[in-house]
Amino acid sequence: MDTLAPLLQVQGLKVHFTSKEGTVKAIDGLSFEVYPEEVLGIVGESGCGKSVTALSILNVLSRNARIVDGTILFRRGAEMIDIARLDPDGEAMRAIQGKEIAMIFQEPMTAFSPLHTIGDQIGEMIELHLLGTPSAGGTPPRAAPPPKPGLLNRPAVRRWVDDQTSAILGKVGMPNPKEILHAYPHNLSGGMRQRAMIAMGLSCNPRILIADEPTTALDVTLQAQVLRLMKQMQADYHMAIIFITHDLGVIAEMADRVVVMYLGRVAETAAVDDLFHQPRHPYTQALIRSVPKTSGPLEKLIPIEGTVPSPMDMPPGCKFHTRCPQAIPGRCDVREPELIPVAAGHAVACWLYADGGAA
Amino acid sequence: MSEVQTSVPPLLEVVNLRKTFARTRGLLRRVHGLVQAVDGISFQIFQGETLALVGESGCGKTTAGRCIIRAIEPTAGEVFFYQDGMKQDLAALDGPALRQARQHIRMVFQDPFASLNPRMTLLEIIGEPLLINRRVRPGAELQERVAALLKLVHLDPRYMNRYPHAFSGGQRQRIAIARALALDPSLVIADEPVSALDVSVQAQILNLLKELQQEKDLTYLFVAHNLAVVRYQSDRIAVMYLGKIIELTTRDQLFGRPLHPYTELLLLSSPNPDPRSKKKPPDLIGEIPDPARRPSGCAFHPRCRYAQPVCQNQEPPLINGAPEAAPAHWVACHLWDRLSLENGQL
Repeated sequence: MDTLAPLLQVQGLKVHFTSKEGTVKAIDGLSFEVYPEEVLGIVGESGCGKSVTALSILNVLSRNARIVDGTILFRRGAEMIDIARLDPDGEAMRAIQGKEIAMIFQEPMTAFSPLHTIGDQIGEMIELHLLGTPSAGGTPPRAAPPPKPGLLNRPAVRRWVDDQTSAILGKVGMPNPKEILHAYPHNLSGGMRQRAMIAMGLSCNPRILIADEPTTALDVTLQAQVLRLMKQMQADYHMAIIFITHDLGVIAEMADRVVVMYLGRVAETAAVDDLFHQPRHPYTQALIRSVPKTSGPLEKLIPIEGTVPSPMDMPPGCKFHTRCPQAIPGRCDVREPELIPVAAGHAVACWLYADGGAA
Repeated sequence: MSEVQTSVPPLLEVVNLRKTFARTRGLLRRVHGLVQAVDGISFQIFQGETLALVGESGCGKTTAGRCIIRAIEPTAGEVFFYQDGMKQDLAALDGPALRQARQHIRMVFQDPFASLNPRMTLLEIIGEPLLINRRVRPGAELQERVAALLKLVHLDPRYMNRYPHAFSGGQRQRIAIARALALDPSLVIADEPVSALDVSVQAQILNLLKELQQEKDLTYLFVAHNLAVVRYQSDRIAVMYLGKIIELTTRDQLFGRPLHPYTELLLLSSPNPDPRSKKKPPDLIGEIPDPARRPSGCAFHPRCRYAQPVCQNQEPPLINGAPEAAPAHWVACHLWDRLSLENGQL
């Protein structure tokens, strides 16, 4: 995968929120890459900035948030577009949102509008992005070429959009897609709604799909089904997925590579097998030790002591040093470590690895 | 299934507990459907053990827990509570007798952001049950007790006059536990006590609950959806599906050799934090049914990959499938002795 050029490159990203109590550095120097057709897992606890990362990539941050530094480079052909510099409401950004980078959310009940049918909501995306672009979608090929937009051609456009919508609903395993077109979100069960959400994400054949905790609201049996569907869609549509979750079990199942985030920065990044079997960062090691498992030896859980510091009151130096059993006084609490490569595709931001030696 | 383990009387015995909710519609709230949230469940909990109720959303596990403490009025059934050689039916008590009994059974809720009154200090939150039940006098005596309770859950007693907003999720759950333990209960019903917490904090609370159990000889009814968490916390596990217990046995037997296809499905579907794990969730068939329209026969049959015609027509009884000498292994499946199910331990 390293030989390929990255599809998305986030470099030194800093996102600050201003509030009455002060400035919150939600993302504080974040860098990672997304390669074509891979599943990049981003894992972290609440407040680590994983959702803000997703919103930054789509340039849909709330008004009190600002990208203060860094770049988000998105590759289109030979061109690299810096999303961080685009006008959030501009034409260029809108051509990317939903079309080239799409997102699915945790709670489909709130992400869908309750007032419009599923068919209208997915159809709107298709109409906005695909109509009038003759070569819309590379793979899988669209059944029929889109008709010319225009008032006179309205019925034909409508038929075409409905056909496309029901095709994509069928693709995600909806039992009777033609009927679902006319259903409202509240008519569907939780699992069906999440499928509709995935269909909406896929509808414009994006190159990157961002999934923010897409199965956290679902029961385990449904979760297994939705995860499997996402894997299959990824293979069929040749897209990259940024899979954001707090659940290490889901990451182990879904991701090719993993980024572990702690308080707005990357703590460690590695291929999924290396991360779980040779974790280097004390935080990653501690996370894995603290998670209950459904199989294997029943060892005592070893919790991480203390709590995640408040974003208003960030510790100096390495932000994990307040909870780290291996913190080196005078070093970890003074300067923040940069990402240090420790093996092929494996980097860790920890002073223990600073002098080229393994700890 | 009245006798799970013979000789010793249990601490709590639930017999045929039922709760039916009516679904109403319109201004006149006409009843148009009945949901059997808890559909005749029976189990026992013994002193010092942890019994887990697990299942997916809508299976009735929370309702069952709340019916025991009468936070929800059960529709039918008995809840026998054994205390000081006395046997009381909690479902039949009211007034002062119920209040008295409730001092021995306390609850810990899922969301510590919702379960603690933001306008009360820790002293008031933890002290309230002590004052209401006249265990201590306000003032120094109360403060002393609350300080001891805070120490018990590893919080600094100096925080006593602060409000919940000053605390993180994990710390708030410690406060909720301190409140639950204020009256020295014998049974604690913990309803998803860690599912709202961050992973790094979950283990702290799980370990704390275990530690307190040993220290105070507590008995837990642990209500949860996460099988991995349940595996670490429980001695025995009851799996619920649409209001009924479909399997009930020791932890080791359930995870070692599940007998019900639904338990197998849960085990195979639970994600394991190991990319080398080879377990594969089976193809899911059927939709999760509407509890108001319970399928005939075995309620799980539309989703069961082993279903036979008999499963559609006849409801399987809960029977003991354990070999002689082994701890009881209750299962409600027509095919339990003909299937060899996977346990996901790959």
